[in-house]
Amino acid sequence: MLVSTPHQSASPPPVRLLAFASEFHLGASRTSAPAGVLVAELKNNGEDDHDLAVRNPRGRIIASTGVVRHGALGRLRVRLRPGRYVLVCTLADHEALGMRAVLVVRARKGA
Amino acid sequence: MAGATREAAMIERLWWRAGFGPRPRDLRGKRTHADLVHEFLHPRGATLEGPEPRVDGRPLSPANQYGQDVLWWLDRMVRGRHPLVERMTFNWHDHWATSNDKVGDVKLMMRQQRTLRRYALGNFRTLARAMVRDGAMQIWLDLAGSSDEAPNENFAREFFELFTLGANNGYTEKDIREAARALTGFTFDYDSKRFGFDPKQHDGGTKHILGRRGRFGPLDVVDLALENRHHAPYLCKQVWGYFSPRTPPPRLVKQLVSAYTQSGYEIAPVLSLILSDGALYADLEEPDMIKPPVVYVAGMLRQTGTYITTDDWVWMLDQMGQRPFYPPNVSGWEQNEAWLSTSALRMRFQAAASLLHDAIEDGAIPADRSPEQALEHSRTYAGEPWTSKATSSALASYSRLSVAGRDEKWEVKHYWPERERVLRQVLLAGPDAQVC
Repeated sequence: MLVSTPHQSASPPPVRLLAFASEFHLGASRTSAPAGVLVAELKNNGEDDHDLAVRNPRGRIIASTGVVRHGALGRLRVRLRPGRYVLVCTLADHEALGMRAVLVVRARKGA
Repeated sequence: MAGATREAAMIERLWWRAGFGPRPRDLRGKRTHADLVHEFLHPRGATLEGPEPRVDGRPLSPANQYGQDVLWWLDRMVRGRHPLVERMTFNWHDHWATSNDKVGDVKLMMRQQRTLRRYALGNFRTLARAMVRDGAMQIWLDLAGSSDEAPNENFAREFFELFTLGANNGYTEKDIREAARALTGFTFDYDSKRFGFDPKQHDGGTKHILGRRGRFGPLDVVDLALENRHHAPYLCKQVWGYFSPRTPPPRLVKQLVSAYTQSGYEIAPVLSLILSDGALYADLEEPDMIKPPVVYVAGMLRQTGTYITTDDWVWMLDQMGQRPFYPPNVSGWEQNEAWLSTSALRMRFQAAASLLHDAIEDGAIPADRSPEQALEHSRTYAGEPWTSKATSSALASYSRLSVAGRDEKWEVKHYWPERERVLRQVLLAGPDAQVC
């Protein structure tokens, strides 16, 4: 007889990440995360517009908050597999000026 | 205040001004006011009690989710068992006002908060030295990165003007420039998030600060400011200002300064004098201190036995004008009347309504509940708050008249619960609830 085990079958809650943008820094609350859904927020503390985008290990942007204005909050949601991702601001030359942070995604234990 | 005796009224005021308001049981105990002052100053045992905060069924993750830093701190105010430590931690946050709007790192802000808590009732010199080395502060006032080639004056200026001496109080522009030289050498690497001190970027030359001459370093600036004759009166008045909107009596200021300097900058003796002095308990029947928003909200939650289960408090506090970790500028928050703008007051009313939402459903109140019982039930729910004689009379009158003649079945079902909703709302958010 099969007994349902809701705790095992339920998908884990999204992993949260909070980043702050300023000229020209991008500070993220974590440098690693378990694989699965990531919900990231960007608070723009700077004077210029910024965004938060996720670049996958193959160099492709796979999610973005869109432009976040001064003082505003942006959000993105993306499913990530294990690998080395880069969080960047894609506006103008902001990434080259330093607005990037690495996020290492690891396989979940038992997955 | 609510207490039947002066002693009880003093206890209630103490809870509001030196803590975040009483829980109902705090007003029913047998402790004297003197006992309570002693307990506040000598906290023992667990720091928190009650269920941990959860939003959407999950524990808080303050560093990783926007706004949850505010909830995390609000929760400490609500569940805290060491009221004076919690209140002084927040008072020091206002004194050393640092905003995450510039720091941009919740972990650094929470680290600063832990430092403020550690020295909440401790030694001001130790606290000031810790603030010089604090990462959030170093980013906030540009101390990190200030070098001998380009000394940044921001921290030195605010250190004298706001943190230790008071505006234009015993220092000159030259003192600021010289202190800025002494404070050079701190570094911060944004990529590794590492703070440090590089002697090569420190100006090791001779400086003239506040009438003294020497090859001063960063921590010497603390000692020079604290040894200045203007420091002790300034700081003691600042601390008093967190407990009373009134000017402190000159004889009390003398006592405070004496206790502070003779103890080597200890804060506890100053607090002990303030909390025991009759001047703090003047006009108990006409409270004149506007509750700061965090005190109002945390107090309301404590009064009603409510814990953090929603993130609505974040935007409500924001709208009331006081978001912890985000003071408006380095001067901190304006106090008292500044809290009562039209929109902020409206938000206070809405916060109480939000707390009461669906607390009493239609049909939940029996038809035989008397006006006196309705008022008593409402007062019990709201934590037995103080009300003036005029308010008490108006509430009793409303309790009687609002249901008079309404004895049809549908009227009992609707109007009788409505009466208690209104009574609770007024008790939690009416004019009397805004002062302490």
